[in-house]
Order: sequence, then C-alpha cells, then structure tokens
Amino acid sequence: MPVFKDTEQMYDCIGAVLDFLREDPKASTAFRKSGLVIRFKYSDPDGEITIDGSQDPISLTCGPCDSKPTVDMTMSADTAHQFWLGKLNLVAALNRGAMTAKGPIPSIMKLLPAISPAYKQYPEILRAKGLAHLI
Amino acid sequence: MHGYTGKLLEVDLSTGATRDLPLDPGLARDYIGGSGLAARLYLDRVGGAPYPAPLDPANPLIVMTGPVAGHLLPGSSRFALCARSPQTGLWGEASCGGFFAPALKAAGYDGLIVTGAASSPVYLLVENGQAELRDAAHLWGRDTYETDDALKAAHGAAARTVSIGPAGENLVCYAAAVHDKGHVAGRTGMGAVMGSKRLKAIVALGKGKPPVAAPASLKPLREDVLARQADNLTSQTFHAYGTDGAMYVGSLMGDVPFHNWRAGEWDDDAIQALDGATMAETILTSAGTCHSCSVACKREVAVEDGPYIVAKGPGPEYESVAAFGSLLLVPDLAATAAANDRCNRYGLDTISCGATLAFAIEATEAGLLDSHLAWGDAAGILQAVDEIAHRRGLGDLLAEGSAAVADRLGPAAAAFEVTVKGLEMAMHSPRTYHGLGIGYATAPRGACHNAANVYLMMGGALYPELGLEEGLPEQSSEGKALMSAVGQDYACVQNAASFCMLNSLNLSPTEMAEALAAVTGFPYTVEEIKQAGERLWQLKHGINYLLGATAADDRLPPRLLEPLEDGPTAGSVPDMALMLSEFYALRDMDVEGRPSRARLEALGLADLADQLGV
Repeated sequence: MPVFKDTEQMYDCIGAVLDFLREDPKASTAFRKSGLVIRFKYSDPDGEITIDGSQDPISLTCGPCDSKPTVDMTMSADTAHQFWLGKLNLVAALNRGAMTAKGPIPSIMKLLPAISPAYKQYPEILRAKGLAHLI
Repeated sequence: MHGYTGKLLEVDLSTGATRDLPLDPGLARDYIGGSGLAARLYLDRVGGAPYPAPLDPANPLIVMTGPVAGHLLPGSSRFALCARSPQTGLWGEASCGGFFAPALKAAGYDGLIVTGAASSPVYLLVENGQAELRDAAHLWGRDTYETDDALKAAHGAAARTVSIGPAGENLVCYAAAVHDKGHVAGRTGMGAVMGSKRLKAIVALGKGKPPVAAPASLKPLREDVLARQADNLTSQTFHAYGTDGAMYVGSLMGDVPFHNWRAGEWDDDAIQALDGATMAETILTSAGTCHSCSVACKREVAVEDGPYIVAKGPGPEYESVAAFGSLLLVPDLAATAAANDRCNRYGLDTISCGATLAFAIEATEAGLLDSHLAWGDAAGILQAVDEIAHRRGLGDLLAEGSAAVADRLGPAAAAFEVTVKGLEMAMHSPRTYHGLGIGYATAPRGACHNAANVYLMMGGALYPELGLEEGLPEQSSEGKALMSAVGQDYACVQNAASFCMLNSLNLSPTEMAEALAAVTGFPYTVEEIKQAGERLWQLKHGINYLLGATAADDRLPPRLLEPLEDGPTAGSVPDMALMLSEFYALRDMDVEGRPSRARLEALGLADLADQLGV
C-alpha cells in the first residue's frame, strides 16, 4: 500500500519539506551556490517536483515545469518518504537502483549537509498536517 | 603459465642466500594468489608446532601478488604482505595497492618468501629476474618518504619500493610497510616483522610482463567495468572526494565513530569539516591513483598555514580521517592530515594508532593511565604519534596496541578496548550494519572491514550469482550470517586475484571468473571461485586455530554491544549469538569453531584437518 493516497497528498508533504529547505538560509545558500536544477520524478503516485537553484530566489514547482534539469532523480514516492524521514540508506538506494540519479553525482552528495536538517523537520510537517500515522 | 611469472623468490636474510622457486600451477589455480596463496605457503613452510613467534627470524614474511596484477583490468593493483602477526599473534595480512604488484611481476616474480634476519640493515633489490641484498645502514632511521627518495635516486624513478620507517625499526606492534609514498600495507604489524628481520625495504623493477591467456577477452570486459564506474555513485564520489567522501553520508547512517564509539551524534559542522567535499575545497592539491584504476580515490594534500603544516604529499583516506578525527573528537581536517602524514612517514597503521589513542584517552579519564592525552587535543595526539613511533615515554607502552595495554591495565580497561583478536576495529559501525558485526568477529585477521566485505554490508554491492539477490535491512541481524560468509569468501578471492575492494562495486562474480579465466587460462567458473573463496577462508581460520585462537575470539568488544542512546543507531545492537550460531553452521564448524573434516577435505584441505585433529 503506497504511503501517499494520491499525487496531491504527495505534493503537499514532499513539497512542504522542499519548501522548508528553500526558505532555510543554509540550505538555500547551498542550493544557489550549486546552481543545480534538480527534478525529482516520483512514481506510485506519479508526479514531479523541480527545485531550481539557478534562480534567485530559488523556485519550487510541483508538477511539470520548463526549467531544464541538471540533475534528474527518479524514485518511488515511498522511497522519497523514507529519504526525508532520514531512514533511507542513500548509497544502497542509488547503487541498487531504488533511486536513480542522472547528473553530477558528487554535486548532489555535496548538498547533503545542507538538506539533512530536513530529516528532523519532515516528521513535524507530517504531524502538523495530521499525518503522524505516516511517520 | 599465463598471468603469473611462474616464479617465487626465496630469501634467507640470515645467510644472504636467494633462490628461485617454481610456482606450482596446481597451487596457483587452487589458491590463486595474494594472501590466500601466502597462507598456503606459510602452512607448508612452517610445517607444524611450534610455530615461530612473530618476531622470530624463522617467521616467514610472504609478499604475494595475484594473477591480474599488472594487466589492464580496472583495479588490478593489489599485493599482500603476510606473516604471523606481532599485534595479534595470529594470521596477519596487510593489503596494499599502488604500483608495486605490477613492478614485482615485471621484475620476474609472483611473490617473495623472506625468512631469517640480517645481521645489519639491508634492502632487497629485485630487478629483471635477479635478486640482491644490499646494505641499508644509510637508510636505517630514515622515514619511508626519505627512504623511497633515496632508493629511487639509486635505482631510477621506475623503481617501486616498499619500506619501513622508525615504527617498523622500533618493532611497534602495528607498524606498517609503505609502498612508494602513501600506499600502505597497514594492518597487523607487517612493518614490525620487516623490522625484526632488519629488512628496511624491497625494491622492484623490470621489463617483464607475463602473457595472458585470452587477451582479446580483456578489452571488452575492461570497457564494461569502466562504463559502470562512470554511473556508480560510490565510484564517482570516491573519484571526486576520495574515500573520505563517505564521512558525512556515513554519519547520516550512524556509521562514523564518535568518542571511541560512545556517542551516536556529534556536531554537524564538525562532521562536515572532516568530509571529503571539504577536503576538496581546502587542502586537496590533486588526486592520485593505483595501477590501472580510473576511480583515482587517492588524495594529495598540502597544509601551508596554521598549527598543522603538511608538506604536499599523500593525504588521508576515510579510515585515517575517522581514526584521528571523529573517533578522537578532533574537528580539524588539517590535524588529521598531519597525523596521517606522520603515520605514513613513520610507517604506522592509522586505524590501530588512532584507536589505541582513543583507548588511552579513556584509560586516562578512568584513572588507569597517566597521560597528557585528551579528547580533541590535536597537538597532544600528534605528539603521541611521534612517541609511539619512537617508543618514547608513554609511546613505548602504546606501541604494543590497545589490547595488550588493556591486559596490563586490568579488567576495567576492557570496557573501552575496541578490538577483535587484538586488532583495533575499522571505522565502520556494526550497530549500523549488523553484518559487519559477524564480519568483524570472524574475519581471520581481526576486526577488518575489507575482509568483512564492507561494500556488500553497507549496501553498495549485491551478488545474485552467489545467492545474495536483495539487500537486507541494515540494523537487522537476520540473514547476515549467510551474507557475511558469502561476502568474506568473495573478499578472499578478490584479494587473491589482486583486485581492489572498490572494484567489487563494478565487477560481478561472473565477470571475476571470466577475468581470471582470461588472464590465467584456468577455466574458472563462479562455482569454482565460490569454492576457492571458502578454501582460502577456512585455511586462514584453521591457521589461526593452530596458532592458538579459539571460538572465544570470535566476538565483538563489549563497547559495541552497548546500545547508544542517540543518533541513527539508537538502541541498535547486533545479535551476535544468532549470527554466530548461524555462521558456524554455514561453515560446518562445531561450537568451538572447529570445521568438520568432511568440509576441509571437500575443499582440498585434508592436511589442515590432520593438523587440527578434526
């Protein structure tokens, strides 16, 4: 049974944690410095979210967008959920294909310190939305 | 023979005699090379009890390459140094990359068997099929970098060296042998064995190249592996940031040790400060590599200002940064680079040195040891490294390793000694990866992450052909005994073949068999390399029992069986009872850890069964 009931709920939750990072001074600085345009493509439910670090301010789009991605990351929505809970073995997921990344892999790894505060924030976001049962 | 030169060099340092020995093709096929073949030669040579003590001249030091070394397959660079270990008293082996293995084969030899002890310091020169012992009095006392420079000045830039520094000369139990500069055969004290023999260095150079059986097969295989490397996260991260690129991402899993494994969390900025990405932006000057490797994970660094100046040269890997950084609560990359530089020059195992210092700091806190050491005190730690290498003051005690020091300090010290079989644990957590727990506990040389096949355990690799088709939850002990047994056997083959462990990410077992067949002409199959892997593991395990190991040695240290209260592994402890019972059953070993005769005979180890009395 997928974690999210539909694409809208997925955008609401995953989009919220990406929005937190967009507003966070440390994370947003790291994103802008990287200049990366990261497109996350999800399945089950299907959807895509793009965070564009080449713009100032950083833009976040839930759904198809015109920005040309420098990094394409593909995964199931459940995998994304586990990642933002801080429960995913990222190396295993990438090496074994549960998550695929096309683009400058070292640049993605370099963003981890900036985005890791979101692992504590994501459960709070879910609780605030009355979705504590998803934690 | 194909792949091999077909010759070993026997050196008796007591008499100065050298002699060529043929490498038996049957032995090569069954034991392949590296530490596996070395173990076979060790047992054949020492015969039976009494087994020479580690620093006894009669203890053979065996340097062994594998068949793929020197050919163009990615990661085909490794060689092994093996002997009874002065640190553990058991089977000792150290693995090293770089360029020495191809050079030794170019010089005409697959391996060296060194016995005896010279009456004064010597170095062994092996060049184009000729061997000579030369006076090394002018080199004794010099560090490994100075020694490498002097030997290259004498024999040319193409000469490849393996040397010891003051630590090996002073018989520090975890002294390393250093190849050129910065490629290190670190673990189990092989540098001290060389020091006990007054063998300052080995120099290899030549123009030979053993033919391969099916050269046309190697090029497409090489290209496939290289293509996979280009897409592999771990390979690309190591290429960009060195193995220290694992620091931050590892901390997210709870894999990185803090405060001698007492803490599950540390300051996030401190961890970032030690990460390979930070290294790339601060002290890194260039990347380096080993023979035929495009991953190029080696680092060259320089620290030009501040209290920890490091001349441009080889920089630290993950293990060294963790051992001198997070383990000791030193959030300073320059300080860890300085510690690494000292260890390289002195010839010291960075893992054992850092871990012994962590132990010493806790012993000092507990009032069991009188020392200047303190958590986070980089200057004091660097001073201690100097003292250890030269056996000065407290360094003379700490040179024995944390297990020996804990024995002397009494039972209370066992609480913070983190070793298995006397070997300090590598910087990966069995609380995070329970499979590492059984791997550390049962690896023949002690708490070794590579023998435990770390990239399998941590999720970088899967081996469907070996029966491991899907990943298992990291913080679970279910199924990990099988994973570890399979992984350890495969790691034995990788070592024997001369493949780098990083290669395991991009070369499947099927391709391993194909590569070995293409190089040697022996028609290896996956089934045969599975059997060879277990043969090599059982042989080393059996040697340990002949040297005095028991099932009681197959255990994790008490510290790693304490759950942490915080961090990603809070509450997680590997179930060693479950994993050990399953592992012994898989190995057909009794509760005392003794294998059955039937299993040993099936592996062609009837002689070992006789010696073990099973």
